[in-house]
Amino acid sequence: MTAPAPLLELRDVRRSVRLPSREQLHILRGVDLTVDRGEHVAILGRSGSGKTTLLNLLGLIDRPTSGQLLFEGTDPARLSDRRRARMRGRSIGFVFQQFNLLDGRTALENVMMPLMYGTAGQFWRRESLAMEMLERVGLADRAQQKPSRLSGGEQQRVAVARALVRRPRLILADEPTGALDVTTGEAVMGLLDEIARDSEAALVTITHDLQVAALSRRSYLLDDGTLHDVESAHAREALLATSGIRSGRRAVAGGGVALEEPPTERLETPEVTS
Amino acid sequence: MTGLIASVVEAFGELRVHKGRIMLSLFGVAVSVFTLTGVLGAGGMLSSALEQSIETFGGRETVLSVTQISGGEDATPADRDETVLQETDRLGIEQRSRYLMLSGRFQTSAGVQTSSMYAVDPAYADMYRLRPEQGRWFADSDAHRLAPAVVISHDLWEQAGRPAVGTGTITLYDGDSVESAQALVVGVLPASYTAATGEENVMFTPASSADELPGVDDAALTSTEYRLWVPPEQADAVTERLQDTLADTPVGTFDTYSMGYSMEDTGFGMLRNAVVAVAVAVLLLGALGLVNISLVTVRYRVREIGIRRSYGATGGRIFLGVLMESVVATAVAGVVGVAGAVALVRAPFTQDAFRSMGLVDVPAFPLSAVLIGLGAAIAVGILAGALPALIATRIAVIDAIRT
Ligand SMILES: Nc1ncnc2c1ncn2[C@@H]1O[C@H](COP(=O)(O)OP(=O)(O)O)[C@@H](O)[C@H]1O
Ligand SMILES: [Mg+2]
Repeated sequence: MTAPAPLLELRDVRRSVRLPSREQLHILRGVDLTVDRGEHVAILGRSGSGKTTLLNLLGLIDRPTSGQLLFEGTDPARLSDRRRARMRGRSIGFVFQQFNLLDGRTALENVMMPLMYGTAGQFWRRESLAMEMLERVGLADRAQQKPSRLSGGEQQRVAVARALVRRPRLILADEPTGALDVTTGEAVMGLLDEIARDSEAALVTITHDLQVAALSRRSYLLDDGTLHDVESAHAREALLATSGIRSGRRAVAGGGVALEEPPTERLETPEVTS
Repeated sequence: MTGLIASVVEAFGELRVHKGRIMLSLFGVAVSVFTLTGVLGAGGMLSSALEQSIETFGGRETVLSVTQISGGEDATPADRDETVLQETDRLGIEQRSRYLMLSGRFQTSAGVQTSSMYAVDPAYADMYRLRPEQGRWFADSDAHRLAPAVVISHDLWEQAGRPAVGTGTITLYDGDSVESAQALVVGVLPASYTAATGEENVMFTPASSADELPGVDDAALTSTEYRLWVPPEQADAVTERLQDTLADTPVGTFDTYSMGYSMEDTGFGMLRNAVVAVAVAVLLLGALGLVNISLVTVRYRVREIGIRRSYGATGGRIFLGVLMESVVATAVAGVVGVAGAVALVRAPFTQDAFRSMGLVDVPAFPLSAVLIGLGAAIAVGILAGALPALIATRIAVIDAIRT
């Protein structure tokens, strides 16, 4: 008997787009990545390095130009749009940088939304399931509030509840703390990490923030269109080249990475909301 | 199945959020459904009214008249009755009546007044849809009374001093006021009878006892006609047959022809079609407005649709969702419009208006008008929702959620 397929397996995945000038822009140039069930992985990278492009591939929203991407051993590119959408709804939850809550709808309705596309059982029990999730992120008392009346941190917690309400096996977070101030961001990230662990979901977090990345067992740097282990020489060099890292006072990840100091600021200045 | 229910639930949610934007175009849909249903409903009821009025006047579809045109000078009325009625019995025509036009004179407190008088058989009431507002129509047994029975028009009843129906009498005179007789008032026709026929003073009396009325002798009885009520599809065959068999009888030659005329002759249908056409045009304009608003709504919601898709909404669900929003919205507008139309047409003052136009039985609001109104609303919803729904499914998820 063979071991069960990993949750995600990428082999030499490339993604290029045609620019209006008819030039090809090679955003991803051969990404190899394996994510096992329940594993937490962080992907660091400069703005414009292709992190969101990679995440869209992992989330079955986009297809590789070449290379192989397997989700639980199946190639989603071979599925019909409909089955891929169902697979995505069943197995993946997204947390976006800009929260992406539905305007005009209450926190509860936002968390119920994915259940509208779930099984019949999930649909009919959507209210209690969503309420449970809101309780889990500590927002039970804000269930009837619309996003415009919630703080940034609260909105992102609603988004976390929404991502987890269908009990997905994979959570993809694209700079989940990017629109939050440092303290709030840490709190939200801690919550996301904890809930994902509780529900045994794998978590792939894209971030600028080395501290955020430090929560994950494995961290990669996306640079030049490929992934580098943060402990690799290339990654260290690239990270050291960034001013923010140089002023760090603490190791990024375990295993004696030669960054003496942790970052006190991000690679980029985050927009601080609320 | 759950998908469809979920789509409807979703649609209600969407409508709640976007209600301001769609209200105006829905108002248009509601108004045109109101017009359409109202016109069809009131039109249906009015045409019933008109039909009833026509029937009071010309008989239901299809009343045939059998009239003697020549010969039979020596025949008695009884001989003629026998010949004609035998022939109609042979054809299995049960609804038949003799019909004899006489004139009557009756006593009022202000002197003697004249009246039309018709000697007919009991079946006549059904053929002409006559229904007394008080008392009853004749039965066969009324022919054997000592005093002749009469059913009189409302005006005549008033002029005769409102005798008690069923027990009261009116006094009838012959042309010279020499002979007189008491006639028992068994029924009074409603005022709508006069509205439909234009006759104010009218008496109906059983043909079998007509000879007992003052001033009615054999000479007066020679001009009897016969009225037959046959199904419209048999009218031509029966007419032809009777023209043939009654052409040359020992009691004379009879002609048979159709009496009734149909709604098409009145021009009412054309008027109704014209109003319906306007309502449909308004409805289509409403649909166009709705398409426009739905398109704007979809463009405005590209991001939202992207988010829904990233959470597993299939293209089909997005299509159904946007379509359902439109359909649920117009269905709600349709219900409002239909309810308004029914309320208006069923309102007491509208009903009174119908009655004054000669409606004896006020019909129920036609179900067909309700169904057409709701159907039209839903059709507009589908029409207006299909294009935006199609566009919504074409939205690329990546572009929609790009931050
Ligand atoms: N569809 C596209 N067409 C043209 N350029 C694109 C497209 N998608 C991404 N890019 C470019 O590819 C690069 C990587 O984008 P992205 O994956 O969003 O980066 P990140 O999320 O790391 O900031 C950017 O320079 C972006 O402008
Ligand atoms: Mg990005």
